[in-house]
Amino acid sequence: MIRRSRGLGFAESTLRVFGFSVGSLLWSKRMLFLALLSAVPVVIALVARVAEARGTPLHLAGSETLVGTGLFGTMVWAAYVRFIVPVFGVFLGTGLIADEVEDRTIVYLFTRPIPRGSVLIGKYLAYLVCTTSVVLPSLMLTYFAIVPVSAVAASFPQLMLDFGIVVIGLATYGALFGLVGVVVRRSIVAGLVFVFGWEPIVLLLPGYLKRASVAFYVQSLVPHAVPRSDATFLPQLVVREIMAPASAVLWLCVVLAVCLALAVRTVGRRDYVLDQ
Amino acid sequence: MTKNTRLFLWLAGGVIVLGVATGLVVSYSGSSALAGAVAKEPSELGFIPVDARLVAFVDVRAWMQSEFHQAWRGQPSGEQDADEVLGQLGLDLETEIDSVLVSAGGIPSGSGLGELLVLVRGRLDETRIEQQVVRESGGRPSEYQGRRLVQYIGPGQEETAVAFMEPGLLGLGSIRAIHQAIDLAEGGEALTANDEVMRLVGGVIGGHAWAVGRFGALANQVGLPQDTAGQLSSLDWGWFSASGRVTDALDGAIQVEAADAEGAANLRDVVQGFVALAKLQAGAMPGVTEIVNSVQLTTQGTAVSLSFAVPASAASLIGSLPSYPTAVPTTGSSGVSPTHPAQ
Repeated sequence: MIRRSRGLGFAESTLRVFGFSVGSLLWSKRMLFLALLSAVPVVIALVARVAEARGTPLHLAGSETLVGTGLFGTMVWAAYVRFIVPVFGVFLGTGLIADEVEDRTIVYLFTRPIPRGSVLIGKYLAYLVCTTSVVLPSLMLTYFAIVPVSAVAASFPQLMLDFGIVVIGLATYGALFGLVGVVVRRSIVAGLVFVFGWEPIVLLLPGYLKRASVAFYVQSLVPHAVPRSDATFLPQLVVREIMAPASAVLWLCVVLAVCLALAVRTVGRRDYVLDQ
Repeated sequence: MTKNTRLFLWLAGGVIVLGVATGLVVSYSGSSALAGAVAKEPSELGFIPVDARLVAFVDVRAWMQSEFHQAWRGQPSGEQDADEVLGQLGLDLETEIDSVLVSAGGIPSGSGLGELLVLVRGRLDETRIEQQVVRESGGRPSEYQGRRLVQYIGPGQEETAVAFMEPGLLGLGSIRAIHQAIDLAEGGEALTANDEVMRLVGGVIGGHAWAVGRFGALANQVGLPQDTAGQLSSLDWGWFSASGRVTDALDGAIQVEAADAEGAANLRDVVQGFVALAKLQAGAMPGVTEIVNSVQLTTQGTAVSLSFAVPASAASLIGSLPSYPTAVPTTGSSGVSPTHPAQ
């Protein structure tokens, strides 16, 4: 397909790269692992529903019973926003270019008569399609497993908002770790340190340092999802300081655009000399 | 893109589209419409006598799970009374009970609504409950029509009995009421044979809580101001029906059927006066003003309908509202207000 794409423009090249990247990304071992990971909340939701039907609903330690929309909000916050979304970003975002370098197939892409940046953008779009097609159905199934029909009308708009938050989170983490994968050699390690080391720590610290994380802006969009009992849920206490949702979305878009632009620029200028 | 890749993406998209469509349909049509479409009349009605004057049902699980209940917690309400009654049986209202149905009037008690029968459905351990009543309340086991029942002195010092009507369904009430329910279980004319009541039940059955009854009987039982009670008791009343759904707010509707158009107009005037008074008293209380402003009153023929909505933010205000200085009967078998003689 690429062989016949001599003289293609940026958009068409991007679509060609996107076309073959979706399949390779979707059926990779890494994606299989992540798909299993995203099935865990659905299983937890089903277990919670059965437990609640048997009269033994889940409780947070020393807190109120967790059922219905309260439990769903907790899972959106703890499972999706703080775990699944960053992990998808780390494992798939860093591999956009780094995997091609590691497999020594990057030369086959870059010797084609297509803009180098279109390779990155095409792979990034494939990442977005693959991750959303795994995470959003998981979120949807979790919602309908937990929330009773009677509460759907009241809580459904919030689910749509959660969809938007998850998509913008995946997009931003993907762009950030796409850049990391381009400029850092051990990008997965760097990504894991960022997500599970740097971000939790800076969220705990007072001042402006927390703004040097993606989690702070994503968290600012989901205060609704955090359980309401005041003094019992530790994560709620540590992320109480948030910014206005509109500002958070704006900053996430800025991070996304800057990271993608830097990644495209770096890929376009860098000489990839493969180890023998 | 391979065939498998396309198939996966179509499937994932299908799950999302199906979920969004379901959510939109439920949101647009209202969950009450959906619930009403799939709701069936509770089988407990088969234990209620055909001439019952009041039937009330509460979906306890829906109430406990609602966001409104989370905001309501701790307010003075009937929950404490229910906890006290169920506590004697060793039952936990929050985890063991699915629904409660109360009926009155099947057996006249000389005054008031008549003797009460409470049917509790849930995950109930028959042996544990019987032992609890025997041990903690001095209950005396006996048999009636081949069914075990335990008699004890209830919270209101009345002779009370409990019996399992069927697995997971506990009957609680006066001995006569329990005997009557057991008789109906063995065959008899139950409330389901009352077409007039069942027509009204069919209209409210989608609610998380609903009630159908003779309005005159109910008006004497609730604590209305004396002037209002006097006006109401002078009218000839038919049936009333009420239903409520609880999610993040409590949405309720009450419909009363007067004997004629004049009676309906009088009732509408009384309620309108009530609403106007409430608006005056609400004053600077934003939550109460919100509730009062949500009240809609309509009259159609001989039927007067009133609907209202209580947001979760106003739930905490309900318990602090002032009450009228009237004598309100207890939940005893024949309670009646001294100021409101029974009809």
